[in-house]
Amino acid sequence: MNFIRVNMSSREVKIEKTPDEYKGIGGRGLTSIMINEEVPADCDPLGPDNKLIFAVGMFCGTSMFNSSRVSIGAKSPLTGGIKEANVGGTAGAAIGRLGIAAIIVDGKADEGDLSILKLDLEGNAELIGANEYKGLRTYKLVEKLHARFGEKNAVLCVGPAGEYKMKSASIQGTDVDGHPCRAAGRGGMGAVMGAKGLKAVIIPQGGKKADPVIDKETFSEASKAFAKLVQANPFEGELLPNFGTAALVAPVNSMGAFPSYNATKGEFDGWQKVSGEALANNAKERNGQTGHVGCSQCIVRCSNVYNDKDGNYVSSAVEYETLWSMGGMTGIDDLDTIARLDFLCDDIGLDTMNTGVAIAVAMDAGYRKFGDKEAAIEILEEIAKGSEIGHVFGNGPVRVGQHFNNARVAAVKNQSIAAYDPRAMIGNGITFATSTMGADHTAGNMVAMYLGHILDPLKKEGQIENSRENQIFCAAADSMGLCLFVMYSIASPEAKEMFTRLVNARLGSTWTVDDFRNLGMRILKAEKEFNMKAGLTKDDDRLPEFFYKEPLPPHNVVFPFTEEEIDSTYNF
Amino acid sequence: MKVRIRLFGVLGKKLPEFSAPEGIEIELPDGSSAADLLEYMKVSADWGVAVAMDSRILKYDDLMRDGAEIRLLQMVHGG
Ligand code: SF4
Repeated sequence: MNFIRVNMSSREVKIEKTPDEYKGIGGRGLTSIMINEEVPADCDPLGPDNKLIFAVGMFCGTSMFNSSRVSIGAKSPLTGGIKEANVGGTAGAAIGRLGIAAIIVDGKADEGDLSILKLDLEGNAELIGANEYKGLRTYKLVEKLHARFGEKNAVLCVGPAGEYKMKSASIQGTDVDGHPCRAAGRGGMGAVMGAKGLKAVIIPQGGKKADPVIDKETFSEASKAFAKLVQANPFEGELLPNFGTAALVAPVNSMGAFPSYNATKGEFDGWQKVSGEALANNAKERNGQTGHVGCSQCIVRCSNVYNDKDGNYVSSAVEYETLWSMGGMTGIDDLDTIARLDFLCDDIGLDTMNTGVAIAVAMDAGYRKFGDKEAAIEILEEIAKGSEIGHVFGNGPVRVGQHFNNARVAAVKNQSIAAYDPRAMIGNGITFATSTMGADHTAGNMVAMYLGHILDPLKKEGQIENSRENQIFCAAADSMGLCLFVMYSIASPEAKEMFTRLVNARLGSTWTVDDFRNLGMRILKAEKEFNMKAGLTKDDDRLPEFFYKEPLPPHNVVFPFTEEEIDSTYNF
Repeated sequence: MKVRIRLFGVLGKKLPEFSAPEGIEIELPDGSSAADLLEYMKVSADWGVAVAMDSRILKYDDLMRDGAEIRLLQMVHGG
């Protein structure tokens, strides 16, 4: 597999063989280890010395199911530390099939100058001037790029928020229908891409240059066994295809852990109106879709298509975290509005979580009332315009808290929490506090352990150990290029054995079962090291004060861990 | 004792006789546990069902409260 190195200052594009030290590591492992090695930790995240790295997981480019995730990493303008956000859709598989392990973008174009990076089926790449696309929102941009280069191309791109270098700016990727609705949302990766002057990466699908699988027979046998496991599991086999991630709305509200009205309540009054069940009914009535394939080679189908009452496309996929940030947090219990906000975030190129929480912080400060649907839409349009207030909102909830003098901001390392209140799911609080990524829902989420009676969400016992193990697991899982939902199927010892055989068959490596965990630890250590070099300290591994002081109804509890206990999470 | 049960996820399809949007009231012997309820409803162990009452996930031997709303939820991961 090759690296493509792109310098946006000199406009040089170089192809090189993957250096030995980076062979056999993919996804988040590759982005984080490379950033720790190659990016000066004290650099300006929006300056020329930062590197924006697109790295496919180790299974991308193979016939493996659900293998289309690409990790996007850089020093984050939001957290000030290292960041990886991964995205599904079509890009991961397409890049892998071109025989490309990573695209590394450094330097910086002249201010206001935009380019696109166009890959071809031979795995070559060129920079093309793209000033005619300046200011375009992502749906329009992709329409134009598809018209010019062909609809078979996967696209990774930024919208206006990325061009404005806003800290909540996402990088959007196309789904199998060609909509730029899959997001590498977190950490302001879109701002880094915008700062470099890169508007889009265009990747032809159907390449045939991926490194071959080393042991085809074992690969085929083990991947079939893996697929059986996935499809037999009620979560991946039944729940996700019927309700998607929105299936989480009922359980998390039923545990009193759905942060609502800017995290003043743990059960949202209108949760039944925004539940997975409501979303699925709506899809049935309006000829929308659940069980939609969002990403290449997916056998789980967690995606959905949301239509308006006339049956016209509004957005895809309306996810649990967005139903929370744009629903529970803002007090908006109307699916049509949430779907519209979801679309606008994708179109403008914004993280729905950071943006919804930013709106909630402003509503909590009295800027508008909770539940004001029009206000939420207006705010997104201000962000799209790049107005003064739009910049405040586009830079995320902490900036909004400063602007409106509201200290009740549910964020860690400037990044908003996700849809699990740290007071009512205290292990998720440990993950939010300590993750090298800032508060994050994919870095070590414990919700299944609470539903499965492994842990009590309100008791301290076992939370730190399990957050630690989950964080290690997720770091390794994010390196595989496989959707996290299928990775959850490898919990049993037999499944771990099977997965190890699969990795070895792919790479010709000699992994043992422990090597998966070893990789996770190596990644977290590299990330922690980078963060320390960048100036982050233990004080950054803290939840905001109100989680320690304001009891959350209905349990009326606060976050119970001491600083020493929190700091023990990374003892490995 | 009487409890009002509500089903989420695909449980409504699997147990249509207990499915209604506003829930269904059922009568069980006093002192029934979550496990007793699941047995009564013939919920298979491999469906991965969690039982919630009063904003808590019940352990299978936890007793239910007379008059409570009981939510039957499916196991789900976050991501
Ligand atoms: S399950 Fe969902 S996120 Fe995962 S690959 Fe399929 S559509 Fe994409």
